[in-house]
Amino acid sequence: MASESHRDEVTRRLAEYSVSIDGALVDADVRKEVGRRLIDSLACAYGALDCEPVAALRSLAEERAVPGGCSVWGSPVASSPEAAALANGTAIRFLDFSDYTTGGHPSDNVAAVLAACEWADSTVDDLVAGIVVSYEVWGELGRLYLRYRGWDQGTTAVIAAACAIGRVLGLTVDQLANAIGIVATSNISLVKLRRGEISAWKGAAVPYAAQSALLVAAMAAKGITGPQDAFAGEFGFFQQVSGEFEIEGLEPSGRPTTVLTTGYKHWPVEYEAQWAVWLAQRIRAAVPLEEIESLDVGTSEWTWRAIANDPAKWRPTTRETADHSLPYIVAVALVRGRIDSSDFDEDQLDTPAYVDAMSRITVHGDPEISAIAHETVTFRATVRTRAGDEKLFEISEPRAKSMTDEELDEKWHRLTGTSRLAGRSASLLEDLRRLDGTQRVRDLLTPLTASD
Amino acid sequence: MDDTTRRLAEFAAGLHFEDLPQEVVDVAVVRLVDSLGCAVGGMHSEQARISRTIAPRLDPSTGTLTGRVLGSGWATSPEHAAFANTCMVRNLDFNDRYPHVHPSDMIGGLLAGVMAPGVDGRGFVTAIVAAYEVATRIADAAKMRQGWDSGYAAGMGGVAGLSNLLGCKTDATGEALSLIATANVPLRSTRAGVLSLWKGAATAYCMLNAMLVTRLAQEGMTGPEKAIEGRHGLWDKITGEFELPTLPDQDGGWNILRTSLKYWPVEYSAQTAVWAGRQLAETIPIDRLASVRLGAHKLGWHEIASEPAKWDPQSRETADHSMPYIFVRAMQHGGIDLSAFEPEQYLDPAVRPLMSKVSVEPDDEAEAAHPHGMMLTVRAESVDGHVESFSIRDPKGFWTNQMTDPEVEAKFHGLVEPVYGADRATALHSYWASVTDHADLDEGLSMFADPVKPV
Repeated sequence: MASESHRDEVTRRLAEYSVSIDGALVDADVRKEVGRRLIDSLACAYGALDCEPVAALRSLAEERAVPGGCSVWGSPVASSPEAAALANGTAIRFLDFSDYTTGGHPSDNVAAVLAACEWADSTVDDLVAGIVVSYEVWGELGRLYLRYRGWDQGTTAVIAAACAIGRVLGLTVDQLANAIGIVATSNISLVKLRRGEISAWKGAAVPYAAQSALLVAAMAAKGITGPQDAFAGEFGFFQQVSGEFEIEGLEPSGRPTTVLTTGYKHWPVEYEAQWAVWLAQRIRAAVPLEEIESLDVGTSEWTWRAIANDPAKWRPTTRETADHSLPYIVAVALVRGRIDSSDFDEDQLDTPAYVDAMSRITVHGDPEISAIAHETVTFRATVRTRAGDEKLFEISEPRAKSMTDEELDEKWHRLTGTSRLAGRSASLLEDLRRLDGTQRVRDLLTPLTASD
Repeated sequence: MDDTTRRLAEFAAGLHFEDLPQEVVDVAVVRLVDSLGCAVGGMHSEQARISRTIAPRLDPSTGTLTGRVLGSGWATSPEHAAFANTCMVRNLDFNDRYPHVHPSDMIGGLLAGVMAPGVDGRGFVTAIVAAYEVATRIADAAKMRQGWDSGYAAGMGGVAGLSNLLGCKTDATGEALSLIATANVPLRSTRAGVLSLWKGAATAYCMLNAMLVTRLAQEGMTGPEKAIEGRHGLWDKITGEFELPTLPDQDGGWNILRTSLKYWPVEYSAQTAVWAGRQLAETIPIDRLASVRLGAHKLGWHEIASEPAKWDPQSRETADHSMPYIFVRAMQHGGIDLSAFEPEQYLDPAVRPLMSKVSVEPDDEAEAAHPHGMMLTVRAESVDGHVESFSIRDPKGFWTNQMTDPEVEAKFHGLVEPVYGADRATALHSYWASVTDHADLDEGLSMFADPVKPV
């Protein structure tokens, strides 16, 4: 059978890094940031609990009731780790309000890591280690920009999830290498799901990938072996998916970076589009909407391709298309001065004022903006008034957008406030701020289970 | 939904037992019986053990669709049951075959759905046929670009069969197909180099995912639009554009009739090698053999005779995919059985010098016969200069040379008796060979509980 000495370099580095992280030893500022990531993720989950696809996934999890299993948020029933992670993970992601960095939303893995902790009856210290590993591996692999090659985020998310879950379950380097070999070769997902009219699958696809890692890591703990050279071998990940690469960071026990720098979302829209909301607020303050003849928005070619290059973006019919439609987002922000998750409810999408505003909006990709887009998000708007004037507006800021503790608290209260589980959310917020390393993760999550 | 997805979905959702010619029903039941025998034979495998260990035990009072792992008396999630059962069916690599897919892998997944309300024996057989017809057409049409694994075709067929079994409408079936087409495409590297235990579980994983996406679609999940034909979809990224062969609902004929059973427990292209080894040993005993050159069709050569690892098998998975090892064993023993794949057998140093006398190369004539026929050419020379040349065509079990019912039953008994004893083997065969008579299949699954050889 496969032995450790034959692993390819990428597998070995990923596995060695993952097992080296000790939750009790991470720096205080990293630990605090892990807590803030959890606050942000769970706030998003509260806000989406009763959205339709999340409710459907919850009933699927309830169908798989496992005594002593993992919590299903919003439900009194415990379930299999995979089903719980899929329902809970989709709740975190569904509003598209969760944190974001290169390669997608690292919080897509959070529910799977939490489910692993519950399944193994782990402590908060193990959770901290798992979250750090998931984010750091995510960041390392995110820089491959696989979406440009047509592969979706789940393709690498599941590798980060396996590393984190393997750490939580206490796998050896060799066991974890087997799990990595399996998930890296069995879960190639296509970016098709983010093209054209986008379906509810957009919010479930990466949690679906992440939940696979629970099964695979559990099998690895029991002795399953996987491909030895999943990356470098014949028909492996390099050859079929990514091209050759090396692990550049991830020094064992090294200081985390991704978990500290991943951007937070202040508005529930595609990440870059947040700056379009802020820009629209400025325009709205300067020019009354009825005086706008046309509004042309320049942005990076990447952003243009992602959220404005398709006619479907000007007539969204689903939440998933609308919150990834630059014209729709700008239109709502021009009309309302802000934007909320409820603005993407399907009965809002043909609001005449939005349709009218969209008809005046055009978008183009600007090579000058693209040239600096890796570090900076820029939108330039040219407003032509009905009186014939032309006004320029520009916003250009560093891509990594943090959030103050106060802003994060405000987001928590905004999203939990209307939830049917709001009653016990205050104690959860306290626990997440404190992150007591000896607390059992099962106990931590109790407030998210419904008592009735 | 693109045209290819719609055609597959309409066929899968619309297939009824009454649509099946008797010949198709009979062949499907034989494949079911054969798969169950293989599953019992694989019940004690490492993959099956691991998959049982990690399968959560469900509270049976709450579930509307629970699965049962063959050999167990308890309920688990349908996904875990699909995974464990398929691991068992597949483990010995003794189950049936069509070019680029082992269609009966899907039977392990479908078995996990038969506890659903309203499923009877006829519905199960219909679902098996739906799965076979779709998977074989995907395998035919999508000449996978090199590097992608054909477990993919089983996943598509698995979704077709499960959608049929669970009563999904055309739209939900199409969504499930769109999901499986884009969500978990497997790489070929699981079957390259030194093989790991995952090789025997990779298609089971496709069936697990087929079960999950089918349930998701049934509950209303919608998948990517134009998943097969659209930009960054299946054609674009994985297979290249293909023309889906005509399905049976458009008079396309029944591919299940063109699937082959295995007579020997080795990779399909090695079936001919077993017969060849037997035959050669009659004129040149192995201790008189100087050298032998085997000529195989290209895919067979590529899969089981193109790399040095096949001349030095270090794992069971490599040994039963090694043409030189299988050929030498057949020369030594007049055939091959499962004992050949015990570690002390394939690791035996004495077998290495014998394997070094065997060379394999692609052969034009064998290639021309494939895939509608199966051929192996043999040219051997003895130590005293005697030359022997012959070829083996369409081995027993190949679809043009089907195994008889008694041969199928004997294979079933050979696999099942060591685990369940002769009486229960007879009862199991009798129950499942008459599957179309049963109004629900609970009893048949329960008969697998408590094997005499405990799992």
